[in-house]
Amino acid sequence: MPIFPLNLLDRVIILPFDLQQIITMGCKRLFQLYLLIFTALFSSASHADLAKQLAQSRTWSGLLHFEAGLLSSPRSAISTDHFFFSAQGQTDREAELLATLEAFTLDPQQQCRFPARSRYLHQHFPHLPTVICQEFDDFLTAINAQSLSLLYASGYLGNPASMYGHVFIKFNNTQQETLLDNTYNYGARFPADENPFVYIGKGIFGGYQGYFANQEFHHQTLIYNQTELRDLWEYKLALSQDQVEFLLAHLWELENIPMTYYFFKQNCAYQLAHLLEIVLDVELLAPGKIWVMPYDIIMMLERNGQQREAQSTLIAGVYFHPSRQEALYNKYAQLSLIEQRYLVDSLRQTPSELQHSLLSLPESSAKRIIDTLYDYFAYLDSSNDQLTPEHTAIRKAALSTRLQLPPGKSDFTEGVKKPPHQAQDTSLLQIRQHYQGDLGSSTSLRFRANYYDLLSVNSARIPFSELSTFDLTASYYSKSGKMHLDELTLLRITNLNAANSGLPEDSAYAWKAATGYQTLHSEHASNGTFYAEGFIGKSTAFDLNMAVYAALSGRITTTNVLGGYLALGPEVGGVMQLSPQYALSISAQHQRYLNDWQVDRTVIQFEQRFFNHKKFDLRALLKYDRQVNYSMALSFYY
Amino acid sequence: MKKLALIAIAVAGFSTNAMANPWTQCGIGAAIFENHPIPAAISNVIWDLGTTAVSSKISSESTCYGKGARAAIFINENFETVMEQTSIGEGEHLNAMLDILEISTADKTNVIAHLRRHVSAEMHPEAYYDALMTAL
Repeated sequence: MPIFPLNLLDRVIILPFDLQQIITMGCKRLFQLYLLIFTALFSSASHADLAKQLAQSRTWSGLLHFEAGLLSSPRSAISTDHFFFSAQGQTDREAELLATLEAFTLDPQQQCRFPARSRYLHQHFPHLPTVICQEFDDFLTAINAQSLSLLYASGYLGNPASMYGHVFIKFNNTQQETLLDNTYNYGARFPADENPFVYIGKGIFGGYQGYFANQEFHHQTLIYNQTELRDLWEYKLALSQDQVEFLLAHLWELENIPMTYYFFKQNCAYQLAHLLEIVLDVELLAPGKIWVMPYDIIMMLERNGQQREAQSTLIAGVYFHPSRQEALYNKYAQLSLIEQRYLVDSLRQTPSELQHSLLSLPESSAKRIIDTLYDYFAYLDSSNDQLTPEHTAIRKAALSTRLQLPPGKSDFTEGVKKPPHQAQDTSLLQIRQHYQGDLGSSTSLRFRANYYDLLSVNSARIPFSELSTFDLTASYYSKSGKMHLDELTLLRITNLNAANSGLPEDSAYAWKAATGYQTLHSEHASNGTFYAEGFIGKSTAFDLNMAVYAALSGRITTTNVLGGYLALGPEVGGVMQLSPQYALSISAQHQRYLNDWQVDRTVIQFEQRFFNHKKFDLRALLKYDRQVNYSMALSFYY
Repeated sequence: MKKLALIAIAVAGFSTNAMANPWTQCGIGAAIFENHPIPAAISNVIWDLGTTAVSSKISSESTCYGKGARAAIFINENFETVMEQTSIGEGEHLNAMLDILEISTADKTNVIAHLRRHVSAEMHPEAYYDALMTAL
């Protein structure tokens, strides 16, 4: 057996750059030392085998960001030359490992550029030279992380790009307030004045470069909790101190290293999943999906944890950071009826009247009302972009009054919310048996790429909302023996915006927007049409489980098989969760066609969901659209 | 390296008094954020599956590293919440602000009590910062 594996020997003897450099420097002794160290490192065939083996390991592949290609062999997502020591490093993990060993041996300071690689290789090659990396050590000291959390920001229907949520990580330092913890966020860099269409196109098709960047946690709470009124869910992961530091070491390596950003796959969730996989040794990307969503990492963490022994679960704790809107609802619900009336009345008072009336209340009531007012004004400030001068004056009066009261928090309890991992999984496969008057019975197969609808088992999602993407239904009609593409919805968003506080200005428009392709069945024929539809109106929620709405609905189609191209009319409806096992939605719509006012269309729909499970449910639909039709459907979620 | 800017903020040893007025010396609201004032940066946060690309200048800007300047920036960004919590007498933003200034747990109560006596609802961030400095 040779002392060196052949390729390694070649590398040592032949590599012209290193040799020339060494010889040019006149450092024969250095070269001898280099050979000596390398000989020590690879003094047996087992070490060479080990290098081969390590090159294929999950950790080494993760450190190099190797990804399996659809048609090509694995290669790194990083193309920056200085991220690799080997010229073939982007495509050859073993070459990069050997080149890294060589560089770490010849120039130990290189280990300070790549502290994660250094730590990993030192575990397996203890004779590698050691080096002190003062800058990196200072970095670790400053971050001072004892643990790591994955943060999930709930979806935001106010912006199409934010509807699917967001994830980032937080390094927890118990020696200081958590708001000062460092977070790492993966995102694309783009010009501030980017044209929105260019921005969307480049975001989807890889026109931007993505980077990891760090910010303190208070920046994230300012963005999510305060400005966008989104809840944050913190999943503290069960990682050792070494694992936490290993991730920091790798993030150090990634500073200003770009990777191409794609909205639907190589996004924040994808990069964070790969990052965590380096130390967790589990798959965090949902299998069977060609897209990656933030929620799916949470789902996979929980799924992997369940498959492990109870004592080695991946999630050490779940913590809730409510938005100011959520904080308002929680506090307002805990006020007594008298306090609620005081609060609403206070909004009509002058500042001096407000101060006087608050100071006349029992101290605990005054504090509770003021602290609720703070959340109310923070909510209005974000939802209306700014406060009115009247509101600003009342807020200042509340502040002045609170400063006169003794210090101390109000006696509110924290709200109990279901965390996101308890929601139904996001991709749907459904089989449905359907009966429709003159068309007879049909059997349908439905696939929805994501995400949820009004009847889904939802948690940590916007109440009374729906977000469906790529929803395809194909049916076989036994009477005609034909197969039809019944529907392909590209996007359907419904947000009832149903407020239940009754507070002034706690109200927004209920709206829906959808577009796609449908087969319309008339008495004489079945015709395909592209369509866009929606409604806008108002809604109200009676509690957290029931909301109703009334709206003006509209629909545009590319065919007039039902009588026209553009229809308008009223729509009313509601959603009710009567028990965890049972929910229903109902809607009634009457529209007339603008191009033929004599023709109208009435659609009444009643849908029920049975069972409360992450993986399945049963749906029953009764619908009137010129004729009665009904169906039963079994849904599977993954 | 740029990442060390954050550390420099954390470990800088000079006293809070060395930064008498970060608003003028560091240009809070102007120079620090250059063409990216915080509200604009936040309004640009849109691509949420990762492109929440708020400027990392907050962490990497080299103009002012001291804990006084860092506290000033924190106050400027979170002023309304800081004021609310000052009036309440406790809260995580208030605590974070005092942690930045390395105020011991024992001293925090006194500093907060001083602030509650000397701040008013009409104050702007700069005046609040001045009141905080006099409490130290």
